Parts: sequence; C-alpha cells; structure tokens
Amino acid sequence: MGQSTFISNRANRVAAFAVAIGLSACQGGHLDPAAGITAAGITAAGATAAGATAKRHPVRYRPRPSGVGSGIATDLVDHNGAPIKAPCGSCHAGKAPSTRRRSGETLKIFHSGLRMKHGTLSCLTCHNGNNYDTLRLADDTEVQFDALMTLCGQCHGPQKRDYDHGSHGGMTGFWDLTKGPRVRNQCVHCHDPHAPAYVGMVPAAGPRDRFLQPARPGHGH
Amino acid sequence: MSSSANHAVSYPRFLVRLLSVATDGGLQFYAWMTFLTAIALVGANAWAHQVADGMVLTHMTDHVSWGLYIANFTFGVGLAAGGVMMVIPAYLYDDHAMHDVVIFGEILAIAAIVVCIGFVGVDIGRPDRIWHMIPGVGRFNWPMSMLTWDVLVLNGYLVLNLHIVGYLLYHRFTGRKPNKRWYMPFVMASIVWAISIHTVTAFLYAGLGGRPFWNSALLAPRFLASAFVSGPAFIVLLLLAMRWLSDLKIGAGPIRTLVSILRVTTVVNLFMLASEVFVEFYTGGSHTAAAQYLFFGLEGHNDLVPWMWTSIVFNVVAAGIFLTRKGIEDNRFLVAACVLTFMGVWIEKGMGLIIPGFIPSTLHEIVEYAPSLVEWKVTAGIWALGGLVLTVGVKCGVAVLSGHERLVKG
Amino acid sequence: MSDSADGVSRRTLLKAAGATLGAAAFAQALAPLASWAEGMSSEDFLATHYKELDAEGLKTALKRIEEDTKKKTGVDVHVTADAPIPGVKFGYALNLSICIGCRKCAEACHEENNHDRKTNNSYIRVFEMDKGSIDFAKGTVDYAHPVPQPDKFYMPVQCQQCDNAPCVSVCPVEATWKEADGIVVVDYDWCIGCRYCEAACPYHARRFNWQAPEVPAKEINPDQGYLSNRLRPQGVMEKCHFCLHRTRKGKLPACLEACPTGARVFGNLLDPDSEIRWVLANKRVFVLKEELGTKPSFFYFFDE
Repeated sequence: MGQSTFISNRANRVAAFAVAIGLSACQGGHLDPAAGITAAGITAAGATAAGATAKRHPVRYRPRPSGVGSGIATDLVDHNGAPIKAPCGSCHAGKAPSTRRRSGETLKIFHSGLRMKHGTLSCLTCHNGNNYDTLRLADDTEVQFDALMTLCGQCHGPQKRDYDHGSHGGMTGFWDLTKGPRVRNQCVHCHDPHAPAYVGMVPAAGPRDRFLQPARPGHGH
Repeated sequence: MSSSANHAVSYPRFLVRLLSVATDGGLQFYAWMTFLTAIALVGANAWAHQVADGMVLTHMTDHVSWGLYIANFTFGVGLAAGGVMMVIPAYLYDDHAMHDVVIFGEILAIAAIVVCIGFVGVDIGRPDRIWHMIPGVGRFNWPMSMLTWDVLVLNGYLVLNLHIVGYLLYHRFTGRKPNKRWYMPFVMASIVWAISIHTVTAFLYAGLGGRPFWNSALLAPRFLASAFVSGPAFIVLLLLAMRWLSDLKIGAGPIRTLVSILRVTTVVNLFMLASEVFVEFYTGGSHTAAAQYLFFGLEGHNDLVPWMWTSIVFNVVAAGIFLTRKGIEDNRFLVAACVLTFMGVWIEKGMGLIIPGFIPSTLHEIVEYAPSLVEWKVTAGIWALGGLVLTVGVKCGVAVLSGHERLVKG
Repeated sequence: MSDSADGVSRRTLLKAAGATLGAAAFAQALAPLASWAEGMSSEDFLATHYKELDAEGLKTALKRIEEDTKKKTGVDVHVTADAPIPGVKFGYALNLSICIGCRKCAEACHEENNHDRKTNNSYIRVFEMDKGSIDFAKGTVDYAHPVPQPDKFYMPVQCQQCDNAPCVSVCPVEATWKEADGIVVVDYDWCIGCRYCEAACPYHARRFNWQAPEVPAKEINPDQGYLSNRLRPQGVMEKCHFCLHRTRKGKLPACLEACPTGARVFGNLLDPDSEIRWVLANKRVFVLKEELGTKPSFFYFFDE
C-alpha cells in the first residue's frame, strides 16, 4: 500500500463527479429553532424501494449534555445529589454585560474555572448580553440554546455541511428513515464550546491475538 | 477366448498374492512396518485431539492461517509429480531400461498423493463436512475455486497411477504381454497430468493478488523445476535402497539417466530462485517485505532465515556434486547429493514457500509461526502413512517384477 | 513359498493377531473423536446449505439454532434470517480526518457479534500510522496510549465487501457468497474450514474459529442473525457482515452507532440522496488496494 492509491483514477473521477453535481445536493440545513428539536439531515437518507413517498421517521438531536445551556450550578444539591442550577438571568439581569471579557479564569465566584480557548471569541460573541439565558447569532438575532448547531455553523461551515450530510458527528438509530428514527449528537457532545479542540480519550482494549508481538520498536508505546 | 473368465480367477488371486506379499517379510521388514505404524498412530491420536479440541492446538493464527500441513502438502505434490519424471525418458525416448523404474516412480506418486490428501485432510477445520465437496451431493465450486481443480487433478492422478501400476504388474504376474492400448494412453496422460497437478497447486497460490510473495507467474515453473528435483532424487535413493534390500537389481543405466535429469533440474531450480530474488530485491518496495523476512529477517523477526539459507546451501552443494563425475561414480556422493537436495527442496517448497506468503500479513502485521508439537506429530504420522504405502507398493512391485510372484498355470 | 502347512498357518495366525492389534491401537488413538461426535447431532451433520433451504426448512433451521443455544448456554435468543432489501446495496465510508482511533467500533463489534471474549476478537482492526503516508508497515494495532496522538492518524480496517471478492471465488464449497445487497456472508453450517478464503483476502478481514468461541451467558447478544452474529461453531470461518441482522431491518450497524466522532457513514449506494452517495460525490474518496481490482464497497475519505 502506498501513496499511489491516492492519486488513482477513481479519486480523479470522483473529484470530477463532485464538481459536476457539486453542492447541488446541498439544499441548506433547515433548522427550525422554534421547534427546538428537529430534523437535521437534509439528505433523503433511506429512500428505498418502499419509495421516497413513504413516511419518514424524524432525525432528532440527542439531548444536550446537562452542563450546556441550563443555567449555572449552585452549591445546593437536589434529593438525587445533582447540583441545583440557577438560571443565568438570576445574576446577570442586574449586571451590565462585560463586552471585553474573554475568559472566566480570573473570576472569583461563578465561572471561575472556565478556561476559554476558542480563537479570539469573547463571551458575548455567542452569549446574549441582553438575556443570558439565550444565545445570539452573529447578526444579533436572539436564539435559544437549542439552536446552538446553527450558532456553531456560522463559523464552522464545512463541519456543519458535513454534519448535515451525515459525515460528521455520531448517531444512533436507523439508516433507513422509513423504518425508524435517528438520534444525532450535537457539536457540544464532543466539543466543549469554550475550548472546542477535542481532548482525546483512552482507547478501548486492542486485539489479543495469539502470538501477536508487542508493537514495533519506536511505535505505539 | 474365455479371457474374462480367466481374469475372474486370476485377478482375485493376484490381489490375494499381493496382500500376502505386502504382509510377509523378515524381522527387518516387520520392525520397519511396526515403526511406521507407531508413528502413524501418534499422528492419528494428535489429529483426533485437534479435531475434538479445535485447531487452536496448532500454532496457526488468523495471520499465518496455513502452516506445516499445507507446506508439506505442497512439497508432496511436487514429489508426486516428480515421481513420473521417469516416464518421459522411458516412453517418450523409448528407454527400455527405464520401464521397470517407471513402475517405482508411479508407486512413489501414489504414496505421495496419499500423503497430499492426508495433509489437506488434517488442515480442514470441519472434516465431518468433507462431503460438501462431493459434486452433486454438496456444492462443488468448480471451475471458480482452484482448490476444486486441485481435488480433481490429485484424485485423477491417483486413479491414473493406480491403473497403470496395477495393469502392468497384473500382466507381469499373469505372464501376459500388456496391451499397449490399455496403458500407453494412460502413461501419456500421466505425463501431462503430473505437470497439471503441480501447475494447479501453484495456481492455487499464484492467483491470490493479495499475497505478492506468491502472486508471481514464475511460481508454476518453479514448482515444476523443484518437483523434478525432489522426485528423481527420491527415486535414486529408493533404487539404491532396493539394490541393497531386495533381489531386484536395477542397473546403473536408470540411475545415470536420473542423475542426468537432476544435473539440469537442480540448476534450473536455483536459476529460477535467483530470478525471483533479483526481481524482489532490485525492485524493492513494500512487496519485498516477505522475501526480506525469508532471507534476512524483518524488523527483528527471523525465524525462517536459518532454514532458508540451509536450503540454499543444500541445493547449491547438491547441484555441484551432481555436476562432478563423482556424483555419478561414487554412490556415497550420489546419496549425499540426493539427500541434501531432497531436504533443500522440502524447506524451500514447504515452509519457505508457504510461511512468507503470510509474513508480513496483508496489512503488514508481523506474526511469526513455528509449528506446535501436535502439528509435528500429525505431520510425522502422515509421512509414516506414506512410508507404509510406499513400502507395501515397492514390495509388491519388486515381488512381481523380479519374478517371485507369478500366476502358476494349472 | 516353501513353508510347511504348519508354518503357513502359524504365520497367518500371527498376521491376524498383528492386524487386530493394529486396528485396536488405531481405534484407541482416535478415541478423542468419540467425544467430539457426541456433541454433534445428525441435523448438524446433515445441515442444508442456506441457499437450498425453503421457507419451511429455514424456519426449522432457525428453531434448531435457538434450541441448541438454549441447551448449550441457557440463553433465549432470537435468530432471524432477513433477506436483502430490494433496491438496496450497502456502502460504507470512513472519514480518516476525524477518526481518533478510540477502537469504540471494534469494541462494539466485539459485543454485538458475540465474539470470543478471551481473544477480544473483532472484525475491525484499527491501525495507528504516522502522518505523511499510508504505510501499514509502520502501523501498530496494539497501541494503548490516549488517542489521538498529534503525529498519528488512524485507519480502521474491516471487510470491504468487495464486488469482486477473492474470498468468494476461492471457496471450494460455496460456503461464502455475495448477497444481493452486497454483503459477503458465510454459512457457518456449510463451511469446511479450509481457510483458503483467509489466504485470499487482501484485507485481513476473515477470522477462523480455531476453537469454539466463548461468551459468558449473560453477555450473549440475543438478537441474532443466521448469516451474522449467531454463536459460531468451532472450525469455521467468520467475517464482518455489516451487521445484517440490524441493517436489513433499517438500523445502523453497531460499529457506526459506537463511533463517537461520526467518522463512519453507512447507507444505500443505489439511493442518490443517501449520505453515502453525498460523500462519494463531494469528498476525496479512495479504496484500499484499488490496484487489486477487488472493487470494495467500503470507502475511505478525507475532509479537505
């Protein structure tokens, strides 16, 4: 196996094909923020012999991780031991928004551990200074936390496009939507919005074949 | 003519006499047969355990999925094909001194085919399902699968040789002159067939695009060249042993003919090896990895290196001996050369051919292979079985050809 | 022969005794076969090829497998034999730009498909390679450090479900074949275990059951397919089947569901609006070992 496989005829053909029909397949990811949870896929995945007219099951977002967009944890815990969260507005309503703040690291109370490592963004690039329980798009439109995919997609267009075409972001459920629904991860399931670079993980156990020698010297360990 | 009635009486008598000859002999003979039977028993027991507990008892893996069994199978096919090399001078060139030798070449072929079938049999994970291969009853994937071709040619070759040997011995036994119509076409067929069994076996490997070490057009010619080394070398040893152990004294002529064959084939075999080595190493690239592993070791893995160099040294020394006068005139040199080249080809055509096909794996992982004790036991058992067949066959052949066994006309 | 009549008969007697002894010894040597045959019913032995089963025969066969499994493991399993969906040819694409080498796919395969626990078997092998070239010779499969490493990339390899599958051509008994939806399957009740397919596969996609796989009863996945993840017998071949017991019901394969990054794209190649078709049309796609002409239905791609 060498590099040559890359520069293959197939790759050229595929590339030419891609130019030919190009993004004509891409009709834009229509996300309805008002609906909150909605179909994200724009491609008619799963059209089968059953016919494109068959009823489609929805593609839903997997619920956001509990830490995102649900207020801020207080010292109190509920009867299950989970921290009780206060809405953002309970503090921010009476405070003037800080337009220049880029990090929570210097804060004494609340957000004090918040490490911000997301380009040159400031808090108010995404958070809505007029109502901290919502977000804002680049054109100052107020949106709910449910619309965060749209928010991220403003800058991360290629990723959003790939996401909309099912080639970025984990999913479960059905490939054939005429047979059942699908649930999709949102950006924040893998990427911390304040420091989105993927942090890495410990891999699952490797193969334990008989007689498999340890990794090649200088590799793997 | 009441010839059919005659046959009805004389053929059973022939078989009974052969059975008697096959089980009769001196202390030496019984000791030898007991020895072989004991080894075969050990092999049978090891195989039974392998079937019951799974092939996990072998050291084969998903990386090296064929091992000692298929290596010996491949060598055995060569031996079977080479066994018939005597037929060419005998019949094509009408060398009458060779006619008796031909019988022993074909007896060797029969024993070798038994060995081959044995090795394929023990390599199969589900021997209980072997009936799936029977055309009509099972699903025989012919002509797509080269393995089905191999099944056909090996069994066909076995039948062909059984017929020729049986026919000629039976006629010698009854004192009749064999009818050319009943053996010459089969003899000619067996020449082509001998080439076909080894060609098909080579194609079995050479057709696999995912295994660059085997995926060479030279593989079939190489197989034949090596077959025409190991077969004649074994026959020379067999003839010398018969001279020593039996009443049938084969003259110097046939041995000289065989050595003339060996003079050419050992050199051709080495030449083809050199051609492959040149292409592998001069071209370089990732496809050289298997040859690199075989000859020099790869990334610190070098289990096969000493074996392969031993094989090369054996083959070169043997080729050298065959080319000198001593190779023909001095039996000690002749025996040494035959033993060396037989061993040399066994390594080269066996482990030296099969294992590097799997190392590195198709995804360039390196998992080495050394046969387990069970594999060695089973292997020894199958060779012992071949030895039993060969001994019985040669004993019968000698008895009939030397005139000890004749149909006594009443 | 000049033996006296007495000599002949004594010799014959000795021969007969020798033959009896030999036969007895062989019977003793082959004794382990008895225990092996004990565990096998005549239905096992005379099992019919999958393609030759009629509707009734298939129902009987599925029931036999369920009962066998219950008897051997105590677990109630449900074995199905879904047919290929008309108008569907499965394709799989893997995004090398976002695969992080976490082996979640391999792990999911291991659990979904009732693989042998001891060997941690899986139909997927994930290679960690140096950035700069796809050189398996410099790859490792047994890395254990956190992933992804900054100077590495990761390439999971599984059955490529070739249109021109070498493994199918070489099988001497047609125990493996390509289904209408492109999945190359193995009939575990027909395979003779010669491993010619394993030698023929250029992708190290096939696995042999060197012994009967062992899965603790409570870990057995009861949702099983005849041609896919049912418990395999000893001595037969197995391979990735695109989770056909799931995918033929419209579900995503287990390896895809487990992938945290969404590097895996699965779907119907015949549907021009499917995600897999979008990937083929818009990404820089390649297949592994294209020069071999195997025509895989498994594709790799990169984000630009």
